Amino acid sequence: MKPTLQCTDLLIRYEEKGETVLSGIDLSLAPGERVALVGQNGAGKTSLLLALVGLVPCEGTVAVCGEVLSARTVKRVRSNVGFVFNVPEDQLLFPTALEDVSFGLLRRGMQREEAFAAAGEALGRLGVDHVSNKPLHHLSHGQKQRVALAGALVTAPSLLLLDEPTAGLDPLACKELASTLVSLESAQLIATHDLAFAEAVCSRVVLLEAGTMVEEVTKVGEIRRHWKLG
Amino acid sequence: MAPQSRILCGILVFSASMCAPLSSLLGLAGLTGIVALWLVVSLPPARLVGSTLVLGLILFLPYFLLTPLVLGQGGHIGWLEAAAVPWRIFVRGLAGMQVSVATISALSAGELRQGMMRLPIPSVVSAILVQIVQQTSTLLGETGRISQSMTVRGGTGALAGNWRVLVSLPRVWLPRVMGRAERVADAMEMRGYLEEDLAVMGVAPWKSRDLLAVVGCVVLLGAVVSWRWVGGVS
Repeated sequence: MKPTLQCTDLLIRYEEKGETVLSGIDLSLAPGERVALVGQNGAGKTSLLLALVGLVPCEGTVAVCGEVLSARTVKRVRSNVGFVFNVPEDQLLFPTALEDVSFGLLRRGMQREEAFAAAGEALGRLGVDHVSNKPLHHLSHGQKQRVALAGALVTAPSLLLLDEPTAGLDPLACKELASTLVSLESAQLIATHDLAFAEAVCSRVVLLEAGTMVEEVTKVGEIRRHWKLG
Repeated sequence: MAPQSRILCGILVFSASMCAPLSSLLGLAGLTGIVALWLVVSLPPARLVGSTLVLGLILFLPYFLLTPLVLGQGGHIGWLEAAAVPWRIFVRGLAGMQVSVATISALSAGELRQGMMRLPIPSVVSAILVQIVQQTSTLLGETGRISQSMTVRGGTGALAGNWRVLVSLPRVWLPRVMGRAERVADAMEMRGYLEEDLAVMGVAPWKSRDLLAVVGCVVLLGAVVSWRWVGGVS
């Protein structure tokens, strides 16, 4: 079976001949597989996620659902990917949650009523349908996070890239988010500092350190031991 | 009224206030009448009208400092004639600000988007303008948080503290704003925001009362223009 995400010998640096952010990254995600990306602050987790959708320049090969990322294919690649950014406000581009979530569907040609109904359903699945028509700047951080997630999920992408999805969420919301992610069919690459969340959601953990992938394990306990967290 | 007609009428009233002749009391009364009428129609909050007035005074009163310079260079002209140019800038500036703020305040972000999509503006330009308005609320929230942190950390109160905070703003607030702008641009690109004609999100239809209002504003602008240029009044 074709992997949903395949990246080979990936190298990221923001400026030509500048300092390397990440190098030698080889990573593969099978369909439906959930992988956590952990590492200390500045390890390059966000840069890696951004590189996978062509938002930062990189060398090496990235392929999503068999489509190799290039200037010519970037739009097609992105149409298979749902992305939740680290700060939810950054990706909420419309005045209300309902409009924001429905945008992805409308641009795929879905009828307005149908798109709004599907968006309402997606918000309901994440427990924020009661804020559908509220101005987004009136929502709490957790609510915005869920609206952003609903916007990424609503188009049923093959690959979900989540950057710190539990940042600022209360424990109950984290638990709910974990069970939502587990119920999805999309392959998921989740950058997180929350090892308990990674353990609950992911079957594999990739550790980034000093600009490279140092470990790939199936038990979060091994990461804890690596960091001497007991 | 549909958002697009409110925006269009706002532009026409703004143009009329910029063209109104100011060389006579009648012209000044006409301009005041136009602005007052637009404020009545748009019904902006009184506090907003007040703060716009204060901001206008801060922005446009300093132009009167140019009067002595004009007097010095103008040969045989008097103080009143020398103050005529700053006076026009002052009055038109205040009027233009009130009309613009009243127009925008009568529209929600969603209505602004719907209205812009109906107007003959390139969709990329409309999309960016709409996004600037959309992000303003987030930016205001961020500015509020910076101000709170300044208060908590003792930035307000003593004059020296205020000054220190004020001079650090370009290095604190501006990089934050630029960082946010970059991240929003990434999200726009990822979500295909600029590739899409935002009309897919829905537009309000034109109704007969919208056309009537626009025609009324066109007539108003026409009357003001002919009063000033055809009637030979400056």
